[in-house]
Amino acid sequence: MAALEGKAPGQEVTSQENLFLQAVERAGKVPDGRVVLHFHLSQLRAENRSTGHLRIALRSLEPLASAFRGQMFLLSDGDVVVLLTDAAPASIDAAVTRLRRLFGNDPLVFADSGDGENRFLTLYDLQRDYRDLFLLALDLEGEERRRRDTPQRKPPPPVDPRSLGRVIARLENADLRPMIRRQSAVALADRKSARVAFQEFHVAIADLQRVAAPDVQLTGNRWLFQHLSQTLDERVLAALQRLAVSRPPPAFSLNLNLATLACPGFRRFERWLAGRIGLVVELQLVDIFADLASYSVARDWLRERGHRVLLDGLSDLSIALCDVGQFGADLYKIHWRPELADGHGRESLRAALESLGVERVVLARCDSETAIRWGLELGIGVFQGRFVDAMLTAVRMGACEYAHRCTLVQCSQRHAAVDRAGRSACFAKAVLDGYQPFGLPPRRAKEKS
Amino acid sequence: MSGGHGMDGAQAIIGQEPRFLDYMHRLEDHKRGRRAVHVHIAQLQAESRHENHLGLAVNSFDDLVKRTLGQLFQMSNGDLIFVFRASVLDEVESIVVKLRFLFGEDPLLADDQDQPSGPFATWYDVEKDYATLLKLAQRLQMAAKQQRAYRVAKTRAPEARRAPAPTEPLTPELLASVEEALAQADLANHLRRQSVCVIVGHAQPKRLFDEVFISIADLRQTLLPKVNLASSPWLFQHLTETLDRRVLSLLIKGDDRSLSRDASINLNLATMLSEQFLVYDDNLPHNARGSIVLELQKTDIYADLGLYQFARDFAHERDYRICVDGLNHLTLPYVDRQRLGADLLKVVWSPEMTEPSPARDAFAEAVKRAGPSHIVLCRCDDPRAVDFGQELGIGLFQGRHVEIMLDAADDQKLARGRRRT
Repeated sequence: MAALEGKAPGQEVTSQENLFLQAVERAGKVPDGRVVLHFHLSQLRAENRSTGHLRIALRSLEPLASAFRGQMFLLSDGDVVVLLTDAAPASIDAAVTRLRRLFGNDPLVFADSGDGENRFLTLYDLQRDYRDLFLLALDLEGEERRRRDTPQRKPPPPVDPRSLGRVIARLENADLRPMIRRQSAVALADRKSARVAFQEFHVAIADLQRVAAPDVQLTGNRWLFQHLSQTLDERVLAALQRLAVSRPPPAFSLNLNLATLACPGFRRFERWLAGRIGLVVELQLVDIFADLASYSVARDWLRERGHRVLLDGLSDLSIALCDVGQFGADLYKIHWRPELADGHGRESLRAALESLGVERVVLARCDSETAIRWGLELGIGVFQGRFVDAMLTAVRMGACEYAHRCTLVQCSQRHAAVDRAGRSACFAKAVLDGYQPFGLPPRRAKEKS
Repeated sequence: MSGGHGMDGAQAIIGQEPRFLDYMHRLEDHKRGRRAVHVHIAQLQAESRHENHLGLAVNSFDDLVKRTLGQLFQMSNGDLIFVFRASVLDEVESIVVKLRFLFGEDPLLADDQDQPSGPFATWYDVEKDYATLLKLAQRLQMAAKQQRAYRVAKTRAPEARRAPAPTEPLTPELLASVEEALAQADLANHLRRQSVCVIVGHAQPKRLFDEVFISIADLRQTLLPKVNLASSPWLFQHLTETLDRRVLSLLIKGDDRSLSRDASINLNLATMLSEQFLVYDDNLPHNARGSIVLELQKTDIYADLGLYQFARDFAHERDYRICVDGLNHLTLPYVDRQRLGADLLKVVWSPEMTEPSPARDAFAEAVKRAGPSHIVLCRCDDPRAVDFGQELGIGLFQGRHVEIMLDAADDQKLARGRRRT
């Protein structure tokens, strides 16, 4: 408040929060028949609350607002509030249902039923709840002022064709090795014995961003980013042949563009590892769809050479909308999401995984033990993610005589790095690159059957 | 044709059960060579029946009624019965296909894609089925008490993107220059339209809607004569999105009202959530959305299925139709229309399709699974395309050959008009 009082009158910005507070105060004088709907859209998953999503949400509420002398406010955190006068309950229900349906794939909507706690919407009847509403409006307004007065770093603009050209030029002579990371996927044959199935190597986007594109957001445009990744593929393949790692994993797993598989650089890479190291090529659904004919040729060629094709980036949604099994991949990678643990769509997912062949499924982005338990329960046997990294690091440190000199994070980061500089602080490189066998911690009592 | 109602054209009045019964009685001695079709509008789900679609459905028979080749009866429950001369069977079939699209999203129709006589339409040979028809007329007369209602479903197809001949690769710098040039250029002259038509049997094609697009092939000649756009599919995708946005802004500014109804536009998902699209949406005439098809590239859809689902639900809520664009006979089998919740799939015609092979069989199977009435065969450059499509039950076509057929049909209409006057 104090900060604002210091400003000249003309400097005050009228925020939506401020307008909302004023509207609530005015409405409070004649509370009869007035309600406020507070949609907690800021709690949606990040990918579901883009400016576009919010725009559509507002559009979807417009008929309701215009029918009942409504006022809509898009708060700065992304929540939406609607003040209505004499609105028919049936019309409110219909509008809410419409909006819920639009966001039906978000846990905010599907996970809030049953327990009486509505996470999607709070409804205030001004006659009854004026005090609560007024305090809410006051808090929102204060919070918005605080946010506005705290200097915020503006995110860089999304990459455009011009800036992409500059980024590619900047990377032309850069050594990619310091930007490459590896992450293991672990096969749990049974809970007692685990082994590394393959290691995924990828360029860390944060590093790429820092080195070549401090001024633009590389992932801000899907197609341009995809083009960038394609221009980097062959160079990554070349860099992988000069790794500082002392002992290669049983198999490399690489995210590649389909088009790269037809390049001479890929053939060279394949000759380099043939017979020594296995290869898993991770492809995106969109890439396969863009050129199915090339996909089936490339897949068969890889298979003849003893390699495997992995269909990457799958979710319960993509499995529901598309029969991914028809692509005849060797492996299917599903990204873990915490809401899977709530049992949402579990049975249909189970059926889908069974028809894919659950032994072909890799569960990635496992950042908790819950993820692993969920996967094991469905019969999944291969896991990847931060939780898996932590397990592997703990096992590695248990086998390392210098463990007391390092932290878990340090050991984990050094293991992920594949260039000399990133690994230099490690005292026991053989252990760092070793593949120690290990088992899972014992089951909790309630899991025992 | 006798009866004297022909000149009323399609301005049928609801509740014509008595007239229909009377007509059936009169027809008793003139049954030969006549057919009838009963279109079951009343059975459609309430939400798929829109008042304004009823008019569209009735209008479809206008031409035949005016030419006194048939008579239309509209029941109080909204059902239509059309009694016509057998010689125009093909034309009537194509009208029924068109109606099917008008009401395409109704579950009643979902089970009805393959058989000519299903819940949506019942066909009669007046001579053979006279007793049945008479009973129907009596029954309808007795039951005449309900209402009408309705609604439209639509579809459409592409033709916009033609792969060019290669030389130089497309680079980000070239793309930037082209897009900067596009931002300056007046693209109104490059706006093209091409019809998606219903073609049944040997009947003349009937326009279902027009695709509005900017021809990349044309533009390439002007802007990038030496560049191989296919050299980077991702940069190309970026270019098409830029063009699609330009088309949208042309449509918003333009005053060609014919483009705001029975039209299809190419959109990417991001643009569907843009302010620009909402302005477009605002500017459409009341109730026109049901006749607008939004064409989405398969690449865009599979790049972000979550976004697709959101945009699709929004579009359907607004009554637009969704068409998945950019498919060919090899990719179609991998697309599950029902699971995607799309109204139409657009498949590029290629002569390869006709050659016996496992791919051809897979394609035929996929057409059946998607429902032939939900497929648009596009880039039909030669007559074989239509023959082949019809063999598989496909009724919607787009392409140069279709344009030629349309022109011929228009010429004939003109000639017929002259003979009359």
